Amino acid sequence: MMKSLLLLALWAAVPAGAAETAPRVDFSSFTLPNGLRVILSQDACVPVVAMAMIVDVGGRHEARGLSGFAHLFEHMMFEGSKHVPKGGFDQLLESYGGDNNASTHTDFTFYYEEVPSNALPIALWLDADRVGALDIAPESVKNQIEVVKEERRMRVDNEPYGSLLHVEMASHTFSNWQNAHPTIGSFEDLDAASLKDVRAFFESYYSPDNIIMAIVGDIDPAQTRKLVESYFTSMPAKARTKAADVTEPMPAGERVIKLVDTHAKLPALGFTWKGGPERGADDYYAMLLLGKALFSGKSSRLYQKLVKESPAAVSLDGGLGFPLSDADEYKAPGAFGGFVVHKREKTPSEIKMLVEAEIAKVAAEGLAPAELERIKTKFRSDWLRGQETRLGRAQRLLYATLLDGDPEAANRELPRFMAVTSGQIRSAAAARLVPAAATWFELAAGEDK
Amino acid sequence: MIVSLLLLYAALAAAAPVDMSQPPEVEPMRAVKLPPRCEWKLKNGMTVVLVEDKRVPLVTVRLAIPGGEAAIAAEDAGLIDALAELLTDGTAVKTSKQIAESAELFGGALSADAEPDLVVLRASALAGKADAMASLLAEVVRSPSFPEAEVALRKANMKEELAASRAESDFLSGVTFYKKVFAGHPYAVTAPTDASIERINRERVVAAYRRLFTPSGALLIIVGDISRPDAESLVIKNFGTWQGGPAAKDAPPVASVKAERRVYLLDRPKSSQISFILGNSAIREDNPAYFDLLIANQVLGGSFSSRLVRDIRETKGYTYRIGSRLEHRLTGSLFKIRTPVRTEVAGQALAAILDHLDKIRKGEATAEEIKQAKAYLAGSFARSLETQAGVADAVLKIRASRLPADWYDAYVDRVQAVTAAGAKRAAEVFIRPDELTIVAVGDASKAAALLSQFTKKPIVAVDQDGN
Repeated sequence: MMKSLLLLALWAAVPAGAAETAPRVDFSSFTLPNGLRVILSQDACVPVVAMAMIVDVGGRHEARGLSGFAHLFEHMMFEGSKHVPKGGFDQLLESYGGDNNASTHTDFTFYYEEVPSNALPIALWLDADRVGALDIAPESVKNQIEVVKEERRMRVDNEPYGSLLHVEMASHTFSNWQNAHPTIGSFEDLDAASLKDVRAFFESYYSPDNIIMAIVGDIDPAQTRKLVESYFTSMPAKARTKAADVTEPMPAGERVIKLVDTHAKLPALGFTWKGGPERGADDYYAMLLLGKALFSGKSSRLYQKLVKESPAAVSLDGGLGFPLSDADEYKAPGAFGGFVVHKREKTPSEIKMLVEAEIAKVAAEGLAPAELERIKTKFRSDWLRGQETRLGRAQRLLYATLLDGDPEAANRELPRFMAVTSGQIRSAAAARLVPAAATWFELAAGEDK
Repeated sequence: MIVSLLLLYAALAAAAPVDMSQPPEVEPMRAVKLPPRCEWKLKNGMTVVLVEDKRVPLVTVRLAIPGGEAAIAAEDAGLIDALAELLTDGTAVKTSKQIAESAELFGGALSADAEPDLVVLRASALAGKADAMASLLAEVVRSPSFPEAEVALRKANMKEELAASRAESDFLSGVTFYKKVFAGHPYAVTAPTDASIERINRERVVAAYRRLFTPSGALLIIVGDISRPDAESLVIKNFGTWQGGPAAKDAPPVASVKAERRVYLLDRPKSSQISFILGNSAIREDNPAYFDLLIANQVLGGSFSSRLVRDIRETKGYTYRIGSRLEHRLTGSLFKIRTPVRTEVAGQALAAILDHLDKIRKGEATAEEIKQAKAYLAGSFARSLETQAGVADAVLKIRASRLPADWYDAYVDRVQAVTAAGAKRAAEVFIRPDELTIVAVGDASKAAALLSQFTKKPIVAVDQDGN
């Protein structure tokens, strides 16, 4: 009974944050001698801890012939380690009421566990065992290749628009193979994967100095630091091959790609511009808000234009990063793009004209003051919501550390967004969303000819 | 508690280098309950539940109106869905665009969804702007105008959306599954048809609105950084003068008739996978056997380390996604398994799934499996309380399903009280392989032969509407 009384008291006592920004995420950080960077942040409102780990390897780091390896490896991390049998990772974590998952992105791989706070030592033990002594058994590799192929069938090959969004848009937007190949990989490369390749990938990238860890929630920071040290200090850092060159040549004029999707019932028009700005650059904040103005919600410009006024389209999506990554999770060069599912009686060029006209308008006039205020208010509210969960805060601290080089950047981001002007959005649109640099994807619905 | 945790961490930290051979010993989980809530009723019949939660400067709201998709005839399928969508498409003084802009200006969102038994409006705002949110919420609920042009647009888009949904196996298998498993009951209809969309017009939308939208029986849940006096005045100002007739009636009870196992097949040529849904009717959450069944389901397919995932996905590699769950409507519940598998192994996959159903019914789960299932459910509950939306949805669940007020306060204890024998008993009674409704969506030229071994009766071919 005492325990729950304590919890309820804490629930009421946490002060609200400042009105115009977000409450600060307080944290401490340290680096172990082997290079492992660790960020700790305390919050005892609910007896839950999020423990997240970012590994600085994603689809873009893969070598030719090894497409899909970062993702395959994400699967392998759940297949057992020196003291944890195959299947034991999920089983043990779940037996303490925890949950976990992982995701592979173009620029990194993300792992997390969310556990009742008493079980944090279990999560650390599990992560230490898999990072320090992963068991790369031949039958696990074989099995996970099948699982990954099945995932590709489900998400890409058997899903309307899956191939366009997950494979074609990247492959035609970029010309450097590092950026252009799909993170999900190809069947050929996966089938050809040897045990040696898989082991070499682990040795290359899963080294403590290539990993950042964040622990957020109901913890005592000093004691948690000792706990992390006891589990991770003895792990040696490993040598890595040089990072792949991801530079991208300038776009060589406007292109139109025509595709057929046998699973789609409605036609669609996709479009991209390569070269999304680097995080931290003024254009990054402007382009992200521009994406919201064009695509986000019923009040957005393209929704109003395409779904409501004309009405030519059924649904749309897009923004900074689209469709290769979320806006806040890429390293340059990124993309800016959109995807419109439209009515069968409309032609791709009719949709294209409407999209181009709206973008030209922003590039000439910027956003109206009331529109910009609305978008910022909504953005701030979404930002706060993203900070509600311990995992949300852990993720933000890790992204800031990996992509901005400093966890404190997580606390600086929101004011930067709030400072964006209409003029900055106008000039970013004018400079970056130029017609001559666009790639258009005309997708027809129906049988392959 | 904090002191003992410190001691535990200190003890572990002192043992350097750490012993990796065994997982560390840890303390029991800290107890967790729904935060305190207060409740009052307006004279017009609307109930208000308030949870003060100052963890973030936001306010989250749910407004639930009794009478959802099950409150209309099958020929009007999609009408309540259209009505819910149209609530935010125009009021006496605002256009659709102005409504969306107002919502962004309070830093939030406002949306309405038709569920089987309810229409639920969801809204959120920055704490300082809760007034503006409540005012807009009341406006769309009390004076929607359903403009002709918006109704026509919604209707046209519903046709396109239906066409798009029909490209997805998961959608198609769901339509047929509910149609068969709830046959003859309003819950059987989960999607519109071309014909039912054609029937939608402004008169029918307005009539449905007048019938369902009344303060009597309505439930307003407020969770967030707002005091009781502020919440009271905000509610009175915006909903105090709302008047209306009696609340919509509950859906009729789902009849419990003994079914026979049937296999339904929808042809989706060239599909590289077969999407399966299989299930049978189950029990409400206030049934005395519910927690036994919940644990049995958890062991079977409720999480990543459950038997179905470990075997069908991890060991056999037949699928990327598989799971079993208990699903609830107000007057009917289901046990359900869903998985897409690749076509060549569909027969083996279904045989393996049925084998797991047999095992969970005939043998007790191990102590380890039971312990794990319990901890998972308890831990998941703790995690769900991290957000205002999680707290609001928990309160909505208790009220909408008419569960006892202490349902979530006693949740962890009831989960912990389940025994292996109890879970087996519940599985035997409520998981019924001989009565399964099995729906498969895939390339019929290959699937028919693979599936005939699973039914004594002929396989029933169905169309995209589940007929």
